[in-house]
Amino acid sequence: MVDHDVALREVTKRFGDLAAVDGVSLDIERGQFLTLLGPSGCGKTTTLRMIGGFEFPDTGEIYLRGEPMGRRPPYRRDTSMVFQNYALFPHMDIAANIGYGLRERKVAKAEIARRVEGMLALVELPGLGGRRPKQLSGGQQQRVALARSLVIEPTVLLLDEPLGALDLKLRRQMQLELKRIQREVGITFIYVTHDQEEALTMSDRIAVMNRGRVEQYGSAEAIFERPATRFVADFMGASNILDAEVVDADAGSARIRVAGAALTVSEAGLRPGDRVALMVRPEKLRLTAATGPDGTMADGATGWDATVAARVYKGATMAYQLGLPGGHALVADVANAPGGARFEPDQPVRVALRPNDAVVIRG
Amino acid sequence: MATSTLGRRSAGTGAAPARRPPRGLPGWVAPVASIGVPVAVLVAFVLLPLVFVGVYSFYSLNEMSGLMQTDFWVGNYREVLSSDIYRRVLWRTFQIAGAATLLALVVAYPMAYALGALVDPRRQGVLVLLVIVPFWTSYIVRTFSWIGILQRDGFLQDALGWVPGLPTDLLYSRAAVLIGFVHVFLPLMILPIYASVRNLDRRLLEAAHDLGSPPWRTFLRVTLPLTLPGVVAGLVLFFIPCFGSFVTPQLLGGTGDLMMGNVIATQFGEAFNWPLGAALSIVMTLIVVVGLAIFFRFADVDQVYG
Amino acid sequence: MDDARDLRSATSPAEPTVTPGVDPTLQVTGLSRRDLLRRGTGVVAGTALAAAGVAGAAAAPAPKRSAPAVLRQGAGEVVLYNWYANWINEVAPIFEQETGIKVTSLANYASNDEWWAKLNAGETWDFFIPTTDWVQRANAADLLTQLDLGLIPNSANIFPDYQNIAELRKDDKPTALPFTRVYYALTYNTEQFPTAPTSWEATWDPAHGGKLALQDQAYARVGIAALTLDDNPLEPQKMDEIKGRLMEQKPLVLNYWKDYQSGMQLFIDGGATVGQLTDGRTRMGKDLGAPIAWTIPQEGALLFIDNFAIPKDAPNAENGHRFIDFLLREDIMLRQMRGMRYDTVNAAAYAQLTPEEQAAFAAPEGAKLILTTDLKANVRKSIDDLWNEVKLS
Repeated sequence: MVDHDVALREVTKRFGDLAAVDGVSLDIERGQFLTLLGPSGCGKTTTLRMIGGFEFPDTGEIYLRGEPMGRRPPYRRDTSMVFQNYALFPHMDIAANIGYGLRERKVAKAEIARRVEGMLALVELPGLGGRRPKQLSGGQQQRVALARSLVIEPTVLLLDEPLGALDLKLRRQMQLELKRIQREVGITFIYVTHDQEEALTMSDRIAVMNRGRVEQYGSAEAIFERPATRFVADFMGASNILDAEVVDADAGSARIRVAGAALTVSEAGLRPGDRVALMVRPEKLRLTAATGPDGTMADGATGWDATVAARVYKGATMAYQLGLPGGHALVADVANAPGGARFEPDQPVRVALRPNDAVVIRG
Repeated sequence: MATSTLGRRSAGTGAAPARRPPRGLPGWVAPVASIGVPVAVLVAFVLLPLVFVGVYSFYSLNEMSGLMQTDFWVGNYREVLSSDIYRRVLWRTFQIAGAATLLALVVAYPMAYALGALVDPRRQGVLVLLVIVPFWTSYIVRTFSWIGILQRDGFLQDALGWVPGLPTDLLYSRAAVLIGFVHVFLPLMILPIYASVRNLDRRLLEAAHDLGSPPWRTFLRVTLPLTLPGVVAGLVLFFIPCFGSFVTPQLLGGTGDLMMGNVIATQFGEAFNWPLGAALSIVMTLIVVVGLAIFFRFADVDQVYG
Repeated sequence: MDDARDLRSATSPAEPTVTPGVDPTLQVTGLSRRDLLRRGTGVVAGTALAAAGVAGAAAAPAPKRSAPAVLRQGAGEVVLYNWYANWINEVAPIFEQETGIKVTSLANYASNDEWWAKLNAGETWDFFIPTTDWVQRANAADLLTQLDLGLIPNSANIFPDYQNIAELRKDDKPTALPFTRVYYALTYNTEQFPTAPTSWEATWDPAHGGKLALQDQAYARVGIAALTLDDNPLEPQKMDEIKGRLMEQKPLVLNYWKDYQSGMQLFIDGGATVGQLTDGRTRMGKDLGAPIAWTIPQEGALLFIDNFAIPKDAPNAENGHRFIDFLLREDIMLRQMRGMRYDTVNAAAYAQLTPEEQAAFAAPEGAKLILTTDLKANVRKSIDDLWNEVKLS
C-alpha cells in the first residue's frame, strides 16, 4: 500500500448553484510535488483551500495521513499555506513573521531564534530578520512566506500560485529553488498554478482540472505526451488536434480516417466507428516535396497531401502552417538542419508521421 | 483627464490662439477656491473665535461695576494655574472622559468589527448610515432621553427590573454620565475602527489561522495590532468632545460629577466672569493640543503599517 | 429662532431658563443690600418685604411726574426684543389698533447674555425685558434710557414697595420698571408634608436623604445656607460655616438640577420630595397634576424681578415708553397672569383676580423676601469657589 499523505474522496463544494469542485478524488503520495493545474475557475484553488481547512466540502471527505479532516479548522490541521499575495504580517519584522507559528506552538524563544535563522539560511535571506515586509522585494517576500510555512514542519505544504506576482526571470529562478527546497525538506507540496510550463518544470505529478473535475492525473510526462482528453491536450499547448473516426482495428493498431486521409496508429482497444481525436506534436511531423500515391511510406509512416500556407522562422526550427484537404490545418516544426529542405508558400508538400507519434484522444 | 486638458489647450493655442478655454471660469479660480474656501472656513469658525477667547482671557473685571474691561492682565491665568480647585476639576474631568472613552472602546470595537468584517459589504453602507443617524438628533435630546430610561421607575426598571442585582436607579450618578457619553459620541469611536477593520486584509487572518492561531489568538496577535490606528483615532475623537462637555454631567451626573465644561459654562452664563472663563477655555484647548502632540509623538501609529 | 419662552410659559418670569442647546444662564446674580431693605428690621440679610401686597395697592401714591427728557422720535414704529413672546404677541395687535404705532418684533432671546452681547455690539431696539442684576450691569455700562414716567402713567399700578428699587435707577432716575417676580421657594410634596415645612432645615433633614432636589447654582446654595446661619445671603461672611452646612447637606441630595425643566421634573416623577424650585415651576407642576406646593420658610427666600427697559440709543424711545405704559395697564397685565401665569407686582392687575387666583400667586403673609441683585465681583468669585469645592468633595 502506498503511503498517502493526502487523499480526497468524491469531494464536492458548491457556491450557490455552481459546483466549484465536483466529485474530486485524489491520492497524493508522501514527499511528492503535486500540481493542480487548470484555467481560472476550474476549482484548483478551492480544492487547495479545502485541504488547508479554509473551506469545507459539502460532500466527500479529505484525509490527511489517513485521518478524516471533517470540518477541522486550519489551526488544527497539520498543513500550511503559502498565499498568493504572501500575506506577511505587516506589523512584524521578518524574524517575527517566520517565528509566528513556533510562538503559537510555545517553542522556547532561543529555539525559535535558532530555527528562524536556519530558515533564513534555507531560503537564502540571511541577516534580513530585522527588516519589515514592506522593505523586501516581491521575491524576497515570497521566500519569507515559504520559510514561515516550512518552519512549523507541516505534513503538507500548500502553495496557491505563489509565483504569480513575480516577473518571468525571477519566476524561473524561484521554480528551481522551490524544487530544490522541496527535495531538501522532503515534505509533500501541493502547488496550484494555471501555467502548464511551470507545472511541467516542477511537478512529480499533475492533476489537470476543468470545471471542478480532474480531467487527468498523472506524471508530467504522461500529461504532456499522452493527454487523456481533448481539454488536456489543448491546455498543455497542443496545436494539431483533428477529429477522426476509426475505420478498422485489430489488437495493436487501428486505421483511422482523418482529414480525408487514412492513417495507421498504434493504439489498442479501438473499435470501428469510434469517434476520436488525433493529436500530433508539430515537431513529429515530417515534410517532403514528393507527391505520390496515397498510402504507406517506406518507414511505415502515413500522411496527407498538403499545401504550405505560410512559414515562420523560429531559429532552430521553421514552423510551417499547412492547409489540408477539407479545410483542415496543421502546424509542423521542421529542424533547420544545414542543407535541409525548405518549402515555399503555396508549394504542395507531403506530410507524414509515424504511427507511434500520433496520439489518439478518446475523451 | 490631465492629458485631455493639455491636448485641448495646445490645440487651441496652436490653431486659434484667440479662442477661450471651453469653461467660463478663469484658471485660477479652482485652485484658489479649493484651498481658500476651507482655509476661510477654518479661520472664520475656528481661529477667529479662538482669538477672541484669547483676547478676552487677558481682560479684567472692574472692581466697582463688575463689568469686563479691556485690559492686558494675566491675573486670570495666575488664578487658573495657582488654584487647587481648577486642578482638581481638571483631574476629575480627565477621569470621567477617560473612563467614558475606555467604555466606548469596549462597546464600539465589537460593533465596528462585526460591521466591517462580518457583514456583507453590500449591506455595510446601510448599517454605517444607521450608526450615523443618531447624530442627526440633538445631543441634548438624546441626553434627555436617558433621564426617562435611567430614572427610578423609568424604562430600564420597567424592562429589566426582574433581573436580580441589576441596578435600576442609575440616574444622577457617574455611571449615568458614562452611559450618556458612550451613547452620544459612540459613532466617533465606531467609524474609525470600522474603517480600519474594513481595510484589514482577510488573508492575514487566514495566514494566522493556518499557522496555528485559534480565533482569539488571531485577534490578539493580528487583528488588534492592525486595527490599532483606527482604535487610536477613535480614542482621540471620542475623548476630546467628552473632555470639553458640560451638558451630560449636568443632566445625568451625580452631586460630584463636576467637569471643566461646567465650570467654564458657569463663568460665562452665571458668574459674569468672561475673562476667567476665557482663560479656562484657553488652558483646556492648550491641554488638548499639547496632549495630542505628545500622544502622537510617542504612539507612533505609522509604525504599525511598517 | 423659536419662541424660547414657550418652554417656560405659565411659570415665573425672572426664572433663569435653560433651553436645550443653550448654556445655562444666570439671571439671578447678586444679592446685595438695597436701601429699601436696609431700613428694615435689622436682620443681617435684609428685611422682610411686605410680601404679595395686595394690601399696598390701594394706597399706592401716584408717582411724581418728572420733566420729559428729550427723546428721539422716529416714525410710528416700535421695535421689540424680548422673551415673553406668548404674551407680547397676543397683546401687540391691540396696541397697534389703539395707537396706530406699528410693532416690529426681533427674534426672542433665551437668556440675558444674548441681548447683552448684541447691545454691546452696537445693535439696538426700543423695548426689552432685562432681569434686575442685568439692569444693574446695564446701568453701570450706561446702556439704558432714563425713563420718563410722565409718559408711563400706568407705572402707578406697580406695588409701592417696588416703585423705588435703587438697582433699577441711575442718577436717581428710573431706567427700568418691574413687572413680574419669582421666588426661589421651598418646594415640597404635599403627600409627604401634610403641612408646609417652616424652615429650610427640611432640606438638611436626614429623613429625606436621597429625596432632596436643589438648584445647581452657587448663589442660591450659598445664599440659602447663609440664611440658615443668620448670615447675609448677599454678602456672606461665615464662609467656612456655610461650606460645612453644604457639605453636610450634599450626601442627602438626589440631584443638583441645573435647568428649571429638569428641576420641575424631579418633583413630578423624579423622586424628589423636598428641595428648592421656583414658585412658577411649582405652580406649573401642580397644574400638571403633581402633589406639590411651595412656601417661603421663616429664614426667607430669594426674590428675582423682570423689568421693562429701553436701550440708551433706541430709535423710537417715545414709542417704547408708550408700549411699556400699555403693558402696565391692568387689563393687559391680567392677560399675562392668566396666560403665562407669572406673578406680577402690578396692584391693579392683582385687584382684578378672584381670591382663589390670588391665593395661587401670593406668598405667605409676612414672608421675608430678599431681592437678589448683582454681587460684587470678589463676592461672586469666592461663592463660586466655595460651591466648586463642595461639588468636588
